[in-house]
Amino acid sequence: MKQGFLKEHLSTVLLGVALILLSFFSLFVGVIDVNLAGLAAGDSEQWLIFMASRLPRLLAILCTGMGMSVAGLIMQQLCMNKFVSPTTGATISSAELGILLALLFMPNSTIWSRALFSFTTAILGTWIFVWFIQRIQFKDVVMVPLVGIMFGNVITGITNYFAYRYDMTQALSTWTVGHFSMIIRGRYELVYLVVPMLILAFIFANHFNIVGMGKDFSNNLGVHYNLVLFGGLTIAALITASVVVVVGSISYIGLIVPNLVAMFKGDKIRGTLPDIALFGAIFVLVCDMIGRVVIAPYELPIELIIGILGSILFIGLLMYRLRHGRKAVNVGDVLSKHFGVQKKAEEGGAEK
Amino acid sequence: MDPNEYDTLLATLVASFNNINTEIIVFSVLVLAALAFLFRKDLALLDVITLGKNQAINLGVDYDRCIRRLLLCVTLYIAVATAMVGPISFLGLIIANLSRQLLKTYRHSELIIGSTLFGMLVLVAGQLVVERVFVYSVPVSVFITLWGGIYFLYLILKNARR
Amino acid sequence: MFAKKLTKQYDGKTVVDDVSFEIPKQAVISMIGPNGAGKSTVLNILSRLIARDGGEVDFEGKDITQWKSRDLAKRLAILTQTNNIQMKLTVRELVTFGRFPYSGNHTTKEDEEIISRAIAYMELEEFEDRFIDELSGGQRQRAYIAMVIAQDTEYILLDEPTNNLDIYHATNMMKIVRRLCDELGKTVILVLHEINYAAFYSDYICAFKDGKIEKFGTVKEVMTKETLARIYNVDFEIMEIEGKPLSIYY
Repeated sequence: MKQGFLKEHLSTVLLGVALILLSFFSLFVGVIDVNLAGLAAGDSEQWLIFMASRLPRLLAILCTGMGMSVAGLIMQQLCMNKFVSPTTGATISSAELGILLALLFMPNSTIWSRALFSFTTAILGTWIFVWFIQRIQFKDVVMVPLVGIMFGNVITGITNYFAYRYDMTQALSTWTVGHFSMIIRGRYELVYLVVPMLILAFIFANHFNIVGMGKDFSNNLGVHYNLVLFGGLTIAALITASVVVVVGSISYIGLIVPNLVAMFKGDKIRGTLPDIALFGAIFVLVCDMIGRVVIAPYELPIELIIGILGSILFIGLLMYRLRHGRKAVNVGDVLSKHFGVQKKAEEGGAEK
Repeated sequence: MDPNEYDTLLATLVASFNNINTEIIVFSVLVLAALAFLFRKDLALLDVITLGKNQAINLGVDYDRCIRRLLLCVTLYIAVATAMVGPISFLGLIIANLSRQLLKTYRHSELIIGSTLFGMLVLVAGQLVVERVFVYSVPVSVFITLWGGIYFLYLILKNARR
Repeated sequence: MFAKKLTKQYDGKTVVDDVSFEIPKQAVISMIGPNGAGKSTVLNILSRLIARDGGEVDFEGKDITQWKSRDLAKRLAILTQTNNIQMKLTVRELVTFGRFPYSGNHTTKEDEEIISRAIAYMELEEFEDRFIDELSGGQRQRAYIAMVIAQDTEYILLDEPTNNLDIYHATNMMKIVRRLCDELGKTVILVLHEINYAAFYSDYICAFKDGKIEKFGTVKEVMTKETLARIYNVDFEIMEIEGKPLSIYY
């Protein structure tokens, strides 16, 4: 019994273990030296850094990685399009507009009031976008993200216009450019909102799958199409807005991660949601560590690293697909071909 | 960051026509003209290429090679423009569609001239607006992305209704 | 023109398997067979639209890949199914493109005459200045054939030219194909789904199955109960109409 569970969820278990190890490791990477020996000895300065900066930073990264990936997954399923994501679906831009509005109307706003504005605009922006693309049935699947980017541009244009007009460009960029270095205990807990959202997403995973197969299909199975559609979009928008308010905007996580995982594991959400969340967390964590280490003691912006690493991974996988057809990527084959590792007979996890 | 330093930095990063290096204008124009001459043969094939890949090959065009060279030409043109004023996204998309819509022709010789003129018109008008109405506070690129995005969405709605 | 031992694979699956045949001149040759049998792929390989994995295509003494595309375009024309051009072109402008391999962007007086003749042959004079997206499917298809005629090639390759046409226009198209061969002396190779059009209007039939040539021969040789049953896995009856064998399947 136990062996069956392990085999079926091999990838999830592996990803989980990798995440735990990487997280532990990341806690000790940084400009100021924090190490196990110091912590064990009760060094108060190290503990301060640990509790006030490192740990919150790690938690924020995990929430960002998991949240944005799952938000992207939900949007892709609901819109029946592999290229929709918070970035290409106007969600992030709408969230940024909310932040600007908060800065304009309530200059001494706390993070919570900014969050409220941002939630509202993000939800509205995403709903309008999806309503728009549903009105127009595009023949070409690439049109949808293009329209999303254009929508995002219009909203960003409006945001920037007001920012320039009222001289708020610097203030705006402080709050919207994505970086984890500003994460301090007491100012980031909002991002925990991602967790209940993820749980909701998991519960309704099958509903999203069904809605993703079309209106007629859902009605046939008794699933209330519009309710699940806009409910799911609300979840994705809330996750995105929480991340944007606390961390800033980090693009393309929601686009890259679900597509990468889907190439290995197929499209049934319930099975892939944990993997996507875990891989998303690992991905962002690795990018963050690279950013912290490469030009230490300075940090490279996370969006840059994600863009580069994500693009390389993506192109690599596309080339693999090109050469080997549209079958799901088999990890055993890749390993044995490129690293001479023996393909284990029981390597059944990736074959589904 | 010090607000003044920030503004200075922002001005260099965002495309703006407020301070242009006049020395390189002549040089840039020469480069653009030279590129047009170098790639003239591939530009002449643009009409046939719009018929589609199969038809173009049928009519004797080395499709892959031509596309590669045309993309190279495009890249070089964009490089010159960006080096002069900074990144202006989507302007090409907007102007190209605008001239197609207004000129109602498929001939690229006419479309290219039309696009050049429209491009100049739009940017000059935009800069006028920035200078007179907004007194330099908002850069041209904001308007281009904003109105360009709206125009693009309008085009999509129009096309979808057909 | 010869095809020798052509092979092609997609995604590890062999789509064209050791195909060899000779194309007789001034004849209509139809390629028939079930879906996925490889007919369109072979046509695309013959016309150099896609590359083959193995084998040769011999065209007038040289392999087809060694021809300069422009020169080949004066001797061989191909018309595929995907003709959804979004351009605002009049019929005359479309047919003018047929002269591109000869005159580039600038047409001569002689070109204009050839274009007018092609339009007249296809009986499209009254539509000459109409935009092609305003025409019906049948008229549009005729416009494309006019372009191919203006291209003035010895060989014409057509990929399912009757595909989206109703019975009236499809039959007309096949009559035009026959006239291209009989009146203008062209060699026409076409991929067809309708076996009876192939039987009635062509001289030779090349029957495909599973990427191989099941039979290549005259219409009478190929249109037999046994051969058709082998290819399509369905029972056929053969009836003679106007001296040609037509099939009935049920």
